[in-house]
Amino acid sequence: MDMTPAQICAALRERLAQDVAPKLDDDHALSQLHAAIDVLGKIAPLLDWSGEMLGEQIAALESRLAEAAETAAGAEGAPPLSAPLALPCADLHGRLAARRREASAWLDWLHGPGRALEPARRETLERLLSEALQGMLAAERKRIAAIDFASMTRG
Amino acid sequence: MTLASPAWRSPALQPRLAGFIERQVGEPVSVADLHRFTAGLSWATIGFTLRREGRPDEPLILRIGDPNGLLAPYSARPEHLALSSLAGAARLPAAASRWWSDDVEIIGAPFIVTTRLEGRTPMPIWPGAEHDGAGDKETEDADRILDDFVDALVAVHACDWRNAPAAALDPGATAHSCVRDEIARWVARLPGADGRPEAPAMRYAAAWLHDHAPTAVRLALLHGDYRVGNYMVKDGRISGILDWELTHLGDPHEDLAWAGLRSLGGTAATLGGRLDRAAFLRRYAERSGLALEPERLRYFEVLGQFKAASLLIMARERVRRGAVHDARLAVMGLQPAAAQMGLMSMIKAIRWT
Repeated sequence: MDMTPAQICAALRERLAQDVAPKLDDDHALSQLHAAIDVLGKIAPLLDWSGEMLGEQIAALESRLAEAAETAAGAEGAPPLSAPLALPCADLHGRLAARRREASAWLDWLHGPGRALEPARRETLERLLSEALQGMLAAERKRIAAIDFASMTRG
Repeated sequence: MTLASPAWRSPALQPRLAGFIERQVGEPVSVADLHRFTAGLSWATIGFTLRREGRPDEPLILRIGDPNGLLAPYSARPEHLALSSLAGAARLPAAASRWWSDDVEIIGAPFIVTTRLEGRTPMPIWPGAEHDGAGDKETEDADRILDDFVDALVAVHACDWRNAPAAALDPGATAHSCVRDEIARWVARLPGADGRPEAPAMRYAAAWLHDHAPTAVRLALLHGDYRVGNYMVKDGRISGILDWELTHLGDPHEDLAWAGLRSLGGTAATLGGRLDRAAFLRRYAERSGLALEPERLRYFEVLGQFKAASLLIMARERVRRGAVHDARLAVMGLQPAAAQMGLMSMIKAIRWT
């Protein structure tokens, strides 16, 4: 998730203050709105994405990327076996970003020099990378309910 | 970051718009009754009345390409070229383009003024969403509306664009290049470098789409956003086809696939939860004479899903940059994973089944 809860809070505060507050002429409604704006500002620096989610995303990428490296062993120019990251275990965002970059390097290789690989091995690699990305996305998707488009497009 | 209020969001809009129109028509005018419509996350739509001495009041629409909109930066030129090319087309109710400009000095953003169409805009009925009954009349009239929906698309695709203003839309486009051109346009809108999206799943999908891009069955004028939610209905018939901002040249299958996209409320049986999907494709084939290719449709469904996921990623990027003109972008910014999962599943279904 390359957007922070603080960024979301800031966006909501600004729109509520600029677009909603001027349209309210009820004192109680205004007091409730300003309370919400205030709370969003106060909690923003305390929020972060679920560490459990980030851990699942890292695990999904690391396991498949390691398999990809074994599958591509000996292939010219293939990215190297994923090494343990020189980042603190607690730096989940940094670790995830590094693994995402590795996944991108694999994709670029697969759709570049990796085209020369024998078809069966290339297909296995493509499948592994696809599974890695799906695993990463699934960890985020299962925690965020679907968008309620209907209520946001009335009027 | 606090967004500065541009002229078009301020009381300055009224005199600036009037001044612009005066320069076009060469006589004094006034504009009144400005009213902003809800909905769009991209172009802002404002209704107004044009008054000129000795003439009846004229209800018009001003569409503004908000520089903070989802697909910014905008140009009003494509919509103008498409509407001008389609003016008078049979069975295609569309607004007429009156004036347009990409000069941001005039009202602070590109804009187009068109005639105003009458009707209501039925929105998609999302699977599983509680339906509040709005638009039930449209549900009853669905078959006639579907007929109109098909006819209008056939008319768009039949446009002789080579001999019309739309020839200037995508100079150099060919049947061979147009699909890759469209992929490139969307990749360019995403965060990334060297023509590659930053998000790995989008990087994978873009490469897959590029590798499998077909040559168009023919190079047609496309609407680009043809779906439930982009037409108006009045008295049980479609009274207007809206939102031409994504018009371009391409394969007709692209519009057909987009119309049924699940990310836009489509289901296995419906377009946007309202119109019969199978009947849509069957009637289109009958009336256009185009033999539809199911595999080609599936490809363009993947491309459509790529664009839908791109829109969500672009919304997220707006939040990251603190350039949010609409709180709904924050909601959309929470959804890219679901859309990318759908995208990966669609490719997987083609690739490995």
